[in-house]
Amino acid sequence: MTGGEAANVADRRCLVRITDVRKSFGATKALVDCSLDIAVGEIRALLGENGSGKSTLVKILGGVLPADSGTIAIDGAPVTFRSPRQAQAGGVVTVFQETLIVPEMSVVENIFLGTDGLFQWKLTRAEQRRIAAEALAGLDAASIGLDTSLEALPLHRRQIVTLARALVRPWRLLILDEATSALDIGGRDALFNYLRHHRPEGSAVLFISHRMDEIASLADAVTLLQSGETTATLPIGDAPAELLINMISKSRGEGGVSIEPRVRDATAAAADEPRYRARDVVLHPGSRPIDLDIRPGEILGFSGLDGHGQADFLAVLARVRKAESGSVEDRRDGSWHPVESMRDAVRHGICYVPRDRKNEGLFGGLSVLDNYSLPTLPRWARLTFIDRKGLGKKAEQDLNVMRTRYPGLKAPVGRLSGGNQQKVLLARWLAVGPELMILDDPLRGVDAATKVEVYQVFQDLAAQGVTLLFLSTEIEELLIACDRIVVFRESEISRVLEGESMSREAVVAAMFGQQDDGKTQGAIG
Amino acid sequence: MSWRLLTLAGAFATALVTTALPSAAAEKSAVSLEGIELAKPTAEQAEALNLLPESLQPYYVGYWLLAEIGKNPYAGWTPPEGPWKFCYNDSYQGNSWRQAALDKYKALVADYKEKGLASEDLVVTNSNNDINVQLSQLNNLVREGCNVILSIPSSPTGLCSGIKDAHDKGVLVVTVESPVTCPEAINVGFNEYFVAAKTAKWVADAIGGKGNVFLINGIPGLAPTLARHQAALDVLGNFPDINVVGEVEGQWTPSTVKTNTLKFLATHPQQIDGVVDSGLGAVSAWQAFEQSGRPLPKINGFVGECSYLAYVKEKDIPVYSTSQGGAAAVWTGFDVATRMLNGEKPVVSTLLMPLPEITPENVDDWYTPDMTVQSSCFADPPDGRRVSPEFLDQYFTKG
Amino acid sequence: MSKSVLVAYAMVPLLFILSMVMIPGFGSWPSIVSLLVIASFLGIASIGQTLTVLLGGIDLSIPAIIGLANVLTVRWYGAGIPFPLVVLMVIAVSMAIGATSGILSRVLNAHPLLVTLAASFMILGAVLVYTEGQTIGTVPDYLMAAVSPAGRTGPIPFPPIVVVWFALTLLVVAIEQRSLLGRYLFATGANERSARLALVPVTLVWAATFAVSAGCAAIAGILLAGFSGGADANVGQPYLFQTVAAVVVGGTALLGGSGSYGRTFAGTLLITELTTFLIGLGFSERIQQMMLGLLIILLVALYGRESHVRSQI
Ligand SMILES: Nc1ncnc2c1ncn2[C@@H]1O[C@H](COP(=O)(O)OP(=O)(O)OP(=O)(O)O)[C@@H](O)[C@H]1O
Ligand SMILES: [Mg+2]
Repeated sequence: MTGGEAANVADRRCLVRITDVRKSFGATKALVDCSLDIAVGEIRALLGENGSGKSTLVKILGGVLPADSGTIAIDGAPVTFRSPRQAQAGGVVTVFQETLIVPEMSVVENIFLGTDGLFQWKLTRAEQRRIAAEALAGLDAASIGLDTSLEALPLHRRQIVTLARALVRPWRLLILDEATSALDIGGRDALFNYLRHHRPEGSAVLFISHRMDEIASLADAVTLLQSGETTATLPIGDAPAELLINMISKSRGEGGVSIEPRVRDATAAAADEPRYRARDVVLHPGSRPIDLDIRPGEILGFSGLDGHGQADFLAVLARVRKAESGSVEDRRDGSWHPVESMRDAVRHGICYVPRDRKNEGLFGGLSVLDNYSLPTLPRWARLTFIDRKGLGKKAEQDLNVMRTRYPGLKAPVGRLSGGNQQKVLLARWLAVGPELMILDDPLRGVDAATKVEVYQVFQDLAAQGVTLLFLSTEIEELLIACDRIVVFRESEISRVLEGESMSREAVVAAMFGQQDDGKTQGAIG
Repeated sequence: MSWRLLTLAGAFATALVTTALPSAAAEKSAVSLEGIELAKPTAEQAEALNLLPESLQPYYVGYWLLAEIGKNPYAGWTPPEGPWKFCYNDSYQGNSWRQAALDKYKALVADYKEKGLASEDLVVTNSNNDINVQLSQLNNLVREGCNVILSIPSSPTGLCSGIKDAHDKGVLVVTVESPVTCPEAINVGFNEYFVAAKTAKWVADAIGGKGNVFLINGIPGLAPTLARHQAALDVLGNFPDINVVGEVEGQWTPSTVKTNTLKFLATHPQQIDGVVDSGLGAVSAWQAFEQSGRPLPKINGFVGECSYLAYVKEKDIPVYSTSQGGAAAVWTGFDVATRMLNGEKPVVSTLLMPLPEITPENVDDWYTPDMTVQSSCFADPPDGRRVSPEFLDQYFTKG
Repeated sequence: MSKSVLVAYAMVPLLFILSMVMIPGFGSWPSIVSLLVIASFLGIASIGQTLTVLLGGIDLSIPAIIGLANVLTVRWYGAGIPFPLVVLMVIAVSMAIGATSGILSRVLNAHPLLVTLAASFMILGAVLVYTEGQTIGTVPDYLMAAVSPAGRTGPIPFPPIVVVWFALTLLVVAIEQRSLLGRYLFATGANERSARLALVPVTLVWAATFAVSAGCAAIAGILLAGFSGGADANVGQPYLFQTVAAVVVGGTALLGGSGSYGRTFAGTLLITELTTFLIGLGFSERIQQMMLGLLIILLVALYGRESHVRSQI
């Protein structure tokens, strides 16, 4: 995209006009003065800190929530959507931040869930299957079986089904609320390719992401949302990542943030004896056994195309998942001790933060305090009753370190914005104070400015001797934060990158199983 | 016979019953049903009643709510030579009533064995209220060569094939306290309707024929519950000054009686003069009255609960209860069976008998000092019998 | 969430006023105390049902435990064991049985519905074997006085059972909100897998919850011995349907993880009021149950509206 194209945006016909929309939840003002025009043919990014009101705006557009005041017009005519159905009938199709699927149903059934009446004619089952298959193929995911139940799919594949579900509907405005955060490089490239080149005539996209590289590569223009207020709209050419990050984090009243890659004395680190190790771990029958030494105080990145075993490997290390064979060992007093079970892993100072925060991490209906405190709760119990004052103080401190925005410790965590939920989860595990922290995509949905701060937290921990294993779908993040990067392919370690050899190209090459000749395909850039 | 004649016969029989009733019952009974209008039989039922000698007909009033009567199915039966093998086809042994019945039966057979009349000790089966299990146990008992089988069936129909088979093989099956509908069995028990009618009549008399009364019912849907309930309403309907102000579901469970009586009293502030209980509820009901700060009404006992006797003794208040203890019940069954072994023939298939009554006059014979309001036992007749042998004679023709 | 608590609590006085207007005597002091005594039995028995439902389970063995405790209390006290010791022994035996059910549910990965149902049969069977069908024994007079509507607790004009119920209510709500077990319970009920990953000792939580449930059922059984003055293994029968109803009417979700005994407290009062009201109007037990069913549907419809898609996106 060029700046010239973006300049034309204002001249084009306006598809959606949002004027002065406001929304409060009790005392929380989620949107205060939100105004925004999206032109026909445009891809507009919406950028803002966690809790700045992006999802709230999306829900209002998508007919999930009513606005307190303000107007929304499509093609110049004011509309009020009272349900997601009405919104879809009006051509507004949304992929919400939290995936809404029926796990027990099949892929086709999920894709066509609740579509009766949305299409002019009712589709036969055969037509449904054909359309679903096409949509999945368009997302480079033809390998997903139409009759698989969603329970059997991992998170990133579920996310692809959710996207396909949106794309098969007749849409004019497609809203993607962090819909890419659960995808891997392959899925993301396919989606972007589709949006760039194959989207319907006369349509537009509202795109929400915390990843600057995604915004830069896809959007025509970016609108900043700060504390519920739209403060600026910039053509993408005028908005380099550093500038955007500093603009949105201004509201914090600081001098801005800078992103410095981690530097560590590699020779000193290599001299350290390993602290934990994996021996002969076989993830799938027939795949090569994995050996890995983990040094104290290192930050070890994990990467790979989704489903290539890196996440499984982390779960095996935490003893949450069973491997075909092999052992995980902990060095204590100079000798190696096997870690047998999850309970055992906890005793050996290992803690594990799973990726799927909705189903394996948080308890949406329980309070922020509960969610934060569960693993550390026994420390606050005297004769089983909990010192709530002390706990509350500690919780507030830890949540502040993460810059979490929440209405109160008693509020159900499900009411927090997605990024803030993730912060609660991180704060929970940091409070445990483990020796080995295994993090499966821990910064999904966390805003860019906070990420930088979290990297700093990781560095401080590492300096204290805590070891961090850190899986991310964002390669830049791994490059910035990690000492070494382990890249997986087909349930085996493809490469371990270290020091000078750590580069974006090298990681991508290893992901696709190529030699490191600098030529990669399909990467964002 | 045309239906018109049938109705006439029925009406006649009814008249007979209602007039015969007082005279037959009055000789031994504390409570008389004289002048009380009770349930009327249909023509068919009346005809069945005609199988009985007049003197017994009063005890069968309303029998159709619980049992069927027919001709003696063993009329052409030649009893086997002694010593006999006695067996017990029980369906449950989890309460004290059943335990008392079992012990009594064992003792009676042991006594017979000593006299050389029983070939061995009592053979016992227990089906835990599973009617199919009970049926197969019955079949086994027949196969093992029992001569007499007393049975407490857990269903009025479920044993019929086994009973027929036993009958055909010359084995005598006598049910105790739970009549079956199969025509091949001899049933021995009491008439729920008749007993409940007398009980209700006592309450009505005890409150002087006027005032407010409520009923405590048993487990809904069961035949005895219906019969007792019907009898109470029929009797009280004869007293224009008695006002039935409601019913409480007691389920023959003291805690339930108490709970529901407390709720009832909380919503019925008017004076309550009498309560007609259908079993195990009197003491709990009285406690509910006491604890709600209300005056004690007249309440009957129903099965001779020891707690009832202890309570009336302690408070010195009027007493009336029948006695239905398991030992006496099984003894009557045993008596009937041994009479038949000795060649006597019952006049009908179902022998319904009056129950011993506990009254202010005889209460001291029943009460023993170890009874307390917490006792869960039942008082047994001083002589251990339901009816005297002479009374039982009326049900038989000598062979 | 807070809105539905109000529904149950608002209906208690509303139904009370309606009953007082329609039924003479309903509002008299002895009547009120009677109702509270009756509600206390249900309320105490419902503690366990609430907690096991919060855990995402259900406890069908409550009636059997009540029966067991009832029979053992009368028998052991009748055999001359001092009453405080009897109480301790009965509660200990019951809690051991409850803990076993909880552990078995987890170890066998079987729904507690099945495990506690099986436990019921075994308990009642064992009671029969142990007692040989004879319900002999006795209870101390002060136990009878403690559950009598005419009784008093020192200066408090209620019998001790009501005071015990109120105290237990405060204790249970405190345990739910402020104790380790309480918070573990809610987390496990909301999402067992997440709870495990959050280092909650899930099996232990199940064992403890079912033990507490059985312990409360045992207390109800002991008190019922004083109420009826004798032993009866089937005395707990009414408390299967009623405890579940009290939980549901109060507004605790059967799916687990959300609700509170504070709600069941209101549910218990409401059910007791309703059945008494219907008895006052002369309706039979059948009609009472139908009306209770209607009440449940009405309230479930009210509560159900709250958990909307909105809260999931
Ligand atoms: N149902 C709700 N009840 C109460 N408060 C809510 C609710 N939904 C959102 N909020 C509050 O509104 C604010 C905006 O939330 P929103 O989800 O729109 O943020 P967001 O910009 O999407 O953040 P993120 O980047 O973390 O997804 C937050 O402070 C959040 O706590
Ligand atoms: Mg959001």
